Amino acid sequence: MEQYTEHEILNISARAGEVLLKATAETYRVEDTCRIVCQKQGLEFAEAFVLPTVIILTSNSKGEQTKIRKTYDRSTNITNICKVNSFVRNLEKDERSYTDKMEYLKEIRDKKPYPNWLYCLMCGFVSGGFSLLAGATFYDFQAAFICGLLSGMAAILVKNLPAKTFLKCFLVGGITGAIAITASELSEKCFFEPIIVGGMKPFFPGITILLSLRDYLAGNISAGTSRLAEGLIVGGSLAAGIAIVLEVYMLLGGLI
Amino acid sequence: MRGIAFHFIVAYLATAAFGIVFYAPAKTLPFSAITGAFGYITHYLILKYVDAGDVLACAAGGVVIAFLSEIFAMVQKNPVTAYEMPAIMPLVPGIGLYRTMITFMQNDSVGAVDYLFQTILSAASIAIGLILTEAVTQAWLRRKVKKYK
Repeated sequence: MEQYTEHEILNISARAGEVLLKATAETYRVEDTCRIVCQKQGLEFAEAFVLPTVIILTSNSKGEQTKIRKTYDRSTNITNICKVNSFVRNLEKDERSYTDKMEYLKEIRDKKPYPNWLYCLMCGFVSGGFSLLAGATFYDFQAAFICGLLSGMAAILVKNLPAKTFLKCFLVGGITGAIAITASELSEKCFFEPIIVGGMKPFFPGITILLSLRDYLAGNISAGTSRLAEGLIVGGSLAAGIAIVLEVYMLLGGLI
Repeated sequence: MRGIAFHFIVAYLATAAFGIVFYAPAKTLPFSAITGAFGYITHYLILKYVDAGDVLACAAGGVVIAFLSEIFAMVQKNPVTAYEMPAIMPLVPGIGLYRTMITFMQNDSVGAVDYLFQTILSAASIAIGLILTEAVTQAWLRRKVKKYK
């Protein structure tokens, strides 16, 4: 294997960490990956400090360099976590040049393994399935399926707008509330609760809150707190979307 | 009317769909789905047949999920997260959060805080189940398999 300069090793390490961070991997996994990439390429004593929005990498060997990468754009992407994992595991046998490695990591960072229509369809099935688990009938399943489908489309539509985390969840909550109200008004066989519980499930911040609890239990208070805040914001905007629709409905004379 | 088999199958399919929403690779989908289905069915059976609360049921579900994920992760050489992330979603207390919100809207703050704490406790007990199992399996199983996790 050719010898890389310290600058190049740190760049590969930071890029790998950035891909993981964008895919919402756990904090300890990002830190371990950054450290192991450095150690496998012969750069001793590298320290990584990772928050959900930023990576700070430093080497203490020769030149004492520091790299900072930040990202405000996170969405769960398990394929990328698996790919970076196998990339790091095969790093010693990897014969590609520095530019090729960087290109590979950049390519997987911006790629989604499934097309958008499949994403929307599966959002629908998630909503329908979880409404069934919450005690829905087949009529509720249909309503929740439509909820999920429209929410998935809304999530893809607002992807490039500013404040998209809030906007996405707010829209999803609004759509879910509106469809649940419509369904329970139209048919007596539809119930309110399972449709809403199923409809907001694909965008529920369950993963974020569990990761934050994990960070807390591992002693990483700062990363845990920022993840918890993210989870609360996502959950709060979902609830706000549903609440506003329900308030309007009650103003117009309906009952919950 | 609805038996265990119905819940199992629905949980399986819903977890597989969640795998695609989380962009999991197609190879891991059936395994994460079976993990999620077993975790959910553990939670369901404990709530139904054992006189226990949601906290114990969630912790037991977390233990099952973490154990199965470790096994599949070792077989397929993928990170444990790839199986855990879709699999815990059936356990996550969505209905608790919904009830918290709806009681807040009905101006019943005391009831809402009650629901909120139940929700937080359930989520925390899933995390505790996962972490306990992870610690045990890493101490016992991982010692033989030397590899980067």
